[in-house]
Amino acid sequence: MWQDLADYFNGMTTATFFRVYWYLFIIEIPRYLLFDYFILIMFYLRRFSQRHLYREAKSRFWAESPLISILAPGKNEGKNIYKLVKSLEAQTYQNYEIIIVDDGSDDDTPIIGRSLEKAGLIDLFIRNEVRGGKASAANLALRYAKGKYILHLDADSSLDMTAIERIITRFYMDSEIGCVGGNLKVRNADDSLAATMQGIEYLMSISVGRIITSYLGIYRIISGAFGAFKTDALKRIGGWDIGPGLDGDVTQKFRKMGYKVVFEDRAICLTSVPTSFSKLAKQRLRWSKSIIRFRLRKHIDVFLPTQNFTFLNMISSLENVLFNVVFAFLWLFYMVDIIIHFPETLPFIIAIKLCIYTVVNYMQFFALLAISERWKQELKFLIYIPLKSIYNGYYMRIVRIMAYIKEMYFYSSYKDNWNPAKTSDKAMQHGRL
Amino acid sequence: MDWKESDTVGMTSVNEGIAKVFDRSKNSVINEHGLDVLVVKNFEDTKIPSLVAYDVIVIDYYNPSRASELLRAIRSSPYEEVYLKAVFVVSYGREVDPIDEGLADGILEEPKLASYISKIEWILKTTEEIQEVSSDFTGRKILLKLIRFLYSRQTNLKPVPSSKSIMGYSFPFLDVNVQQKDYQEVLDILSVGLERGLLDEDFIDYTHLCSNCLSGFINYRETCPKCGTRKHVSQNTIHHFVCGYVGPESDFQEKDSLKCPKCDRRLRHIGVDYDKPSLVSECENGHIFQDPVMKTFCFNCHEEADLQDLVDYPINEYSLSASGANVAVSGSVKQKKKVEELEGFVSLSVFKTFLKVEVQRQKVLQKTGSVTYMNLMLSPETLKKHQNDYSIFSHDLAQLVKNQLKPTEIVSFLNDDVFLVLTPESDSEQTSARFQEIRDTLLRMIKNNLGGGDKDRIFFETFEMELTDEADSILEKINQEINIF
Repeated sequence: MWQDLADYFNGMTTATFFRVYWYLFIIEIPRYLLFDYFILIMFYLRRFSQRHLYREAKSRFWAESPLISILAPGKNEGKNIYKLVKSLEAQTYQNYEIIIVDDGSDDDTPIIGRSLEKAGLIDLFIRNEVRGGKASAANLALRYAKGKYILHLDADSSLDMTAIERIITRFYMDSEIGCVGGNLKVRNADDSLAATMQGIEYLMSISVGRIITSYLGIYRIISGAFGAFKTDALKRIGGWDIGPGLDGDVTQKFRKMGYKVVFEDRAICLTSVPTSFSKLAKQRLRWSKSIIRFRLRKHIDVFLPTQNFTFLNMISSLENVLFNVVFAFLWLFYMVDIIIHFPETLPFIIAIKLCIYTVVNYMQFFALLAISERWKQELKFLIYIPLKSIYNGYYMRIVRIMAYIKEMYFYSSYKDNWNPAKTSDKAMQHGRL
Repeated sequence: MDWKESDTVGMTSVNEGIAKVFDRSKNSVINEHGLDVLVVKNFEDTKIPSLVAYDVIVIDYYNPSRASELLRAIRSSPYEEVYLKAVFVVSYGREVDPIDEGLADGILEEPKLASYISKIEWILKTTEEIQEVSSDFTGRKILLKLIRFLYSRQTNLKPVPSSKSIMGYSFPFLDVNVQQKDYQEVLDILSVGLERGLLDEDFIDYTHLCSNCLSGFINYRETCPKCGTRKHVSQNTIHHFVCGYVGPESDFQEKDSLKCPKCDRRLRHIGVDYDKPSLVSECENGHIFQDPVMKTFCFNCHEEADLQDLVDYPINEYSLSASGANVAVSGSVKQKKKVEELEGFVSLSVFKTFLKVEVQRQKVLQKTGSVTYMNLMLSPETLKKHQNDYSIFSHDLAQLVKNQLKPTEIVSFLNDDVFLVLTPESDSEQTSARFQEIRDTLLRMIKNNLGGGDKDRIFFETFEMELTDEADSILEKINQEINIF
């Protein structure tokens, strides 16, 4: 078999090679390897040259020491709250209030929350008897927040000890910054293969992608698992709208208000990810549907020449739609083309493609390890890198395409039980908000 | 119904008799089923000793406070022929105070006793039986009164919810017989009755009492868990389904309607447009909370405490045990421990003899002495702790007391945890000061060595023996305080 593969590879002409692998060489390598790593180098150079600005911002931040409201809404998160509180206790920055909203939990969360509140470990625990969804729980917490900045966390998150200090310092570098996204890494990467692959994905694709978009000024999603906002601005836009996809939506609203949105890669948050591929698929279907729902429907106006039009906002959404939606369908077209025109050599084509991807992935991986703050722990991903090609190249693409089709034609995000039907139905009725 | 005026009143006509019954200016006496019934309408004319002459007393309740006073006076009398008297209240439809109801043998709509005849006969029979017995009951006489009262009525001592009782529940018969300085005494009497096996108890309710003064008049306060203020406002939160805004109702309030502050839509229909997922309180200092901290404030002693500090006190109904019934009739109670068995103690009769001798001696020598009573009031918790070894515990207590006294002092230990101490040739002020020290020492020792607690108390009072006093008058003075003889 290996001999057949070698013969096939040696027998290819340059024209055939590009005919077969055009998608790889025209789109993927330029965009995700050459462009990204060029920008990454630029990013680190700029950080180095502006390190004094960062230090000055940090001094201003410490001099002011503003109150920070940490919001952690959720359902059935009781078991995670104590761990979260403990990770916050270890923070270098301590002037914060913790507000936990229990969104209609049906486990021991109310008892745990109340006892932590009585013990003074959290400042406010609000229990909603009826579930209202993530957005409404976060909005209730926001209503009672007193801090100058809001730090939104998932209850199952835990932070590196300098995370709060680093994420908030960014606000002191530029007064136009409205919100800052933190860097998520996977805590339970050892739990299963699905979790390991997400560990690699968060390290190599999500973090890098956010560094790049932030550098270019088109960063478009502050993760709900770890994001910081200016409280007054967040209250002005009325907090979060109904999800799923509320993280991207609220970020877009900040962009529209003219605020800068940035990513702070050194503010590290560990989060738990789905441990099976079926659960992962559900999560990613939800995430991907929101591109259609929010970028192409709710915030379609960023492409229109209205008085609020800005070039960066348009590019931000365009990049998102182009590389995720358009290129996903282009990949589908590419795969169908290959299957139709090269059916006999399809296994060889895929095998060679995976080899190329693997080589590229290893190059990326070692580059990232060199700058990672916990490279020793991440070294374990080394043997799983070859699987990244299948994970990213096939599994994730198929999930995304399914999500786009479902949302485009069936508005399925409004039927997702991640959100209570009472709110999704209303969002659907009132102009598909 | 056969209502007849008695000869003492001198009326013959039935019509005039009825008219007399309803005449509130005078008492009247009627005869029914051969019973002499005094109908009390004029409270000024009614003297307690004169009531002995009648079989039944019917009190007109047109003046509730005077009627109540009379009832209390009857039931608190030390004489069996008075406090055991069958007494009824005729209310003519008025509401009768539950305490008065508890003291009376029945409430009549009109002065007709037909339905109570058998009860009255039993009361008369047992009263006669009891009167003939000379009691050697040692202990607080209130307990004997109680069991005789219960026996003569064949009834139980029922707690009556009452705002006049510090605990919230009243035992009417005991209340009128105990000087209301301290409600604890009522509880102590009942504890002693139980401990002696004279009474049985049956649970009725728990009452939550102030741990400081055992008062049931408690104000429950919802306070802010952060600053403790009582001034706070609770509001429902509203969740607007369309835009996901959640906030207190006041955020949405606009004149008479609700309008979302985020999306400006009007909220019309609960369950369709919005719901109310929670209740949130905000105090005057801006603290937000959902679970206020419950505090208690005692109206009686002004003590502020946490809810969990309240004492859950069981309120029981008390019935006469077989032994209690026997004691009610015989007036005798089997001694738990003969006082002679306790070294250094004399019996009450010997004490009285010593007292008489001392009175005579001081008249000759022109020197005064004193008599002190010490009343141990142990808490129900301590008594419960020693319910199985009470005789040993009691013996140890007696020894503790004896060890504190001078060799010249004569001491008698009555069964009801009362010590009488005769101190010859002494200054009463110095003696009183010495007994104060003894009390403190005893309390400390009870707590440290005998498993007692902070709620155990000892009352004492020293009576100076004047040169003009007789032994009986001294004992009478003491009895007025503690009703022991």
